[in-house]
Amino acid sequence: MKSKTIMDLNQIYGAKIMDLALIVDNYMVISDLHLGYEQSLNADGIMVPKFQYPLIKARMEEIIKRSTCQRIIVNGDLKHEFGRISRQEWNEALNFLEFLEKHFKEIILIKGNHDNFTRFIAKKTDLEVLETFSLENFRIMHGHKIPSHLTRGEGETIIIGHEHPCIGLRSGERLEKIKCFLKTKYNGFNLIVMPSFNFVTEGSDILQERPLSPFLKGNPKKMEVIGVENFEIFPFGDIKNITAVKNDDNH
Amino acid sequence: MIVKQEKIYQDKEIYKILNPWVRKWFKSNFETFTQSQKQALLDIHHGSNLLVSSPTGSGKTLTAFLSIISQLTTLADMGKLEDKVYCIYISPLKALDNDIEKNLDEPLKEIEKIAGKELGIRKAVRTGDTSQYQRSLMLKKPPHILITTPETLSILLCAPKFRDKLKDVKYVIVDEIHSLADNKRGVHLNLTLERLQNLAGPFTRIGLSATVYPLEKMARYLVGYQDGEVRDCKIVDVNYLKKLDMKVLCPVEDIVESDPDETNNALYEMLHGLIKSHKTTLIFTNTRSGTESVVFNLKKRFPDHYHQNNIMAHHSSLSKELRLEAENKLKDGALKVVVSSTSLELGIDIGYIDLVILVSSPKSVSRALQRIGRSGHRLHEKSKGRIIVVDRDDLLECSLILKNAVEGNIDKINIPENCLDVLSQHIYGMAIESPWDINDAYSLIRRSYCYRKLSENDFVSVLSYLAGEYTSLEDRYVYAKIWVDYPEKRFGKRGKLARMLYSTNIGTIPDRSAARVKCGGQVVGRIEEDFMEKLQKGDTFVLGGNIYRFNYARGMTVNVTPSSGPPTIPSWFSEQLPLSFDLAVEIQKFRDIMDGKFRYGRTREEITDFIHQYLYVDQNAAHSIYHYFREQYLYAQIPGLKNLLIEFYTGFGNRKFVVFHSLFGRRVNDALSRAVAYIIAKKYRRDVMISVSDNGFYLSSEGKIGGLEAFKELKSENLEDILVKAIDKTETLAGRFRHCAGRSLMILRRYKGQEKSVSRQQVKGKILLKFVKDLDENFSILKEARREVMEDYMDLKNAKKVLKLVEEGKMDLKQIDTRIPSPFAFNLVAQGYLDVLKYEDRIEFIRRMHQAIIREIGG
Repeated sequence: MKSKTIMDLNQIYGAKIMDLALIVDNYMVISDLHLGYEQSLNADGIMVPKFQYPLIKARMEEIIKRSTCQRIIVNGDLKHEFGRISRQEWNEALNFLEFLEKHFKEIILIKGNHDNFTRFIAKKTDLEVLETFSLENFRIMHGHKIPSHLTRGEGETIIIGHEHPCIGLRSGERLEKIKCFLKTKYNGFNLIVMPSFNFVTEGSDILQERPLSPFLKGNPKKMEVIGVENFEIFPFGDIKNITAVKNDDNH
Repeated sequence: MIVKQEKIYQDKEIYKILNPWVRKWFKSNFETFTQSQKQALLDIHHGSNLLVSSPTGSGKTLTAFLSIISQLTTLADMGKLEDKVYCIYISPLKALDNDIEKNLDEPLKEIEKIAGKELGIRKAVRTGDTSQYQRSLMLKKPPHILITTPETLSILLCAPKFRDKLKDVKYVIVDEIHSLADNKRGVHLNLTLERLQNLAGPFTRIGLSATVYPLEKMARYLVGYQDGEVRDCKIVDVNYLKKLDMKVLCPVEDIVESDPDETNNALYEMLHGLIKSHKTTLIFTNTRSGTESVVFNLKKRFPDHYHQNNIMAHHSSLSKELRLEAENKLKDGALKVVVSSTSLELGIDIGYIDLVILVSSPKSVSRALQRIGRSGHRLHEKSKGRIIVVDRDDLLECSLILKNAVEGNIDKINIPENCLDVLSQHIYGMAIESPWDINDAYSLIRRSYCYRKLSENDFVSVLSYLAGEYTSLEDRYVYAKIWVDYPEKRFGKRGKLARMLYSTNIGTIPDRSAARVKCGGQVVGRIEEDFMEKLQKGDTFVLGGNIYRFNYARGMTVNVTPSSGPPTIPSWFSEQLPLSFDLAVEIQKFRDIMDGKFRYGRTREEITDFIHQYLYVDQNAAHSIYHYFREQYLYAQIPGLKNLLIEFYTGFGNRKFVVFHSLFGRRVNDALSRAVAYIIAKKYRRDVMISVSDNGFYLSSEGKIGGLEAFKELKSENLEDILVKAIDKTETLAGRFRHCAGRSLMILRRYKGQEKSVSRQQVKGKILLKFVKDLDENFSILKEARREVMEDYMDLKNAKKVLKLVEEGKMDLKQIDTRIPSPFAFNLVAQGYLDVLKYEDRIEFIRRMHQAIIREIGG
């Protein structure tokens, strides 16, 4: 491996990793909060009490403390329910947007597949919900579908969420999942996949499960994995190498 | 007081108390009363509680029902039979309920004929399968004899109208009580009976049991406590009546020397020979996959003899239709052989079986007797059973089962106590009945055997959970199932849906996440979720004795097509039965005796003669056992109850192994191994791998593990505290927690009119546990999950007993180093299942793994 500086280690295509967030210029990007998840569990008969929101807020405060960003982009799936807005979602989403307003000059909401009704929440705070957002060389979108206007890219970088990527580290019988960023290519574009900003699960293991996003269909040939855990960054290199190491590691 | 009923009444005395019509019916059908009837009928007539223990085929059912039918007949004759339930019969199986209903049909009809007038004694089965229409009929014309299951009975207690019909119940019969008492269904039923007694006043309790030990404990379980004193009960024990013809068979001459293939071929030849020379054979295996494999192999190896029409599998993963088909074909005598795991152990009517074969050890003496008792269904006819062994450890185990069965030493029964999840259900049910005084409810609960020692703390923690006190005040409307008024000492139900939630979600059997297997649009069976995950397109596997090819899975449905050729996936995970502690101790004692024989230089002849006599096995088996012990004696030393051998060796990649020859059964070893691993992990700050089997356990790690020192730190007093910490991060705890959360109604299977898929619940169980741990260390469901893991899944009590043996100097610890595992360690190392005790912090682990991967890649 070529030696890299610390700077390189937390950069993907010029965007900087800050725990579960990505910093592009003066913008902070976060993705897949899924507020209101517990209430949807309750509706399924699983009486788990609410516990996520304070954790999300506390982590957000930590991240804000360490950055100077003035603007925030929520890259889709702010809330969880597809069809309606639950009581918990109203409360938590409004509270969260208020919280963001306190810390940022500008809030940009990107529409995710769970966000059919987010615009109603956004309206309350005079915000719009966008399909995509462009920023210099970066195109930010949720990633559940490929916008029709997207032609072959040159030197541009797409940032998506939706995938909730994590990788399972296995040693003997022990398995721990860790959230990660993915660095790859799509149709001439650079592609960054962000981890989810919620604490219900680590996400779906990219070594095991089939990708959800159309951007990752057909499994890109090269894909770098960068793990994040409580502000530490773990560049694992290319996914093929990890799989190869795992196959060796059978004793 | 619990007393043995030794008195045998004369026929004359019994006839005197029977209604004349019933007497006439009996005389025209039977010559005389059976032993159990002679001992029991008068006492039931006088309203004594009674536990009857006798083998199948001894007229147990009629023992329970005869005097009740007689009294109902008398009432009917006098025109005093009211529209209410007089007698409740409870069995663990719907199939058994249906059998009983049929069996009551004839006597009731014939008695009516003898009477020459309509008596109108009604009986009816009520289970989860009973239609809305039938239920409404039962409300209008309640059955005088209600035949039901534990779960349905507890629902009926909360049914607003039907509950009234139970107010005068005089008799409760619990059939196959032994199969309920040792698990949470039995705990649930136990408290249901107290709630019923609270409603109906004292009634006569009749328990029908197979051979169990000690019967006195079972009697206590049956009758419960009043004001801290056990209620009166008489025990009728007629087990000595049925004769046993039982043998252990080795398929090959020398099972130590034969290779597995040879043994396997010989096994099927032997099975075929036995089946051929009998009319109908019932084969038991220990796992469902074993069942599948026996059916598959018999068909494959002897295609001229076995085909779809004369051999069938019967186990709980098969569809209800297939199981019913097997049962009916058995009754009609159409099957030559049926292969089962546990599902045919209980007394459902399966017609005439003249031979029972057990393939490999049934792991306990009582299970062996129960299974073999399925043959020779008539009294005074011998039960014929053959146990075929598959390897040398199996041979030794089965030989000791034979010895103890013949000598009448049966394993002790274990009855779970203070289960807080089951308690949650009941308190919720009680709240639905009516508002309660907290103290009254507490005393009612303590009348149940299973809760007689329930602490006030635990009781209040369950109230607090049900009142939703684990959530914020403003959210409580979602979570609270009851209200509790502490100053007034009262509680009651909350929410309009309470009764519906209760009746659609109670029960104690966890939903297995099983996927339906569909072939050509038809459901052919179920496979467990873990197994489904392993399947890849094109894999073939055995189900119901047939081979299927896996095409695809959609949700929890698996699509397959019929296939041929050897299956690519041999079997699916199935919980192996654990070796019973009492049997394990017997094996250990035998090892001690053998050790002595070798030490004193007894000759080969002397020793084999001794084995032959002591274990009642044939000469071949005795030789094999001799060789097995001799190898161990020469290579290392023979472990036993007096010597706990601890063997060290270094395996692949310099990995250190330490093997504990603690033959105490898997449940004890599970507890011991995790506690030792925890001590090691803490001391050396690294993860430790654990492998557990019935015959011992081993630990392994990448560096030094100091297993002996760690084991010495373990004491009977500190074991429990260490174990609580050791199981904290395990999958076992997470899995059990989900089950407990289900039983405590924190996870609802059916909610707002919808059934929730188990796979969804499974994922969510983990989330739930993660959250609950942050919440409160003593949250009642978490506490119960820990208890279940330590006491029901593992065997904390006997693990402590083992440590006591060491503390009192009765068991020495001996350490040896070997280059390759000793003969006794061999199976233990090969067969154990693995787990890991996580010591490393998550972040340390991630850092280490990251380093390792980068090293590999970067080179």
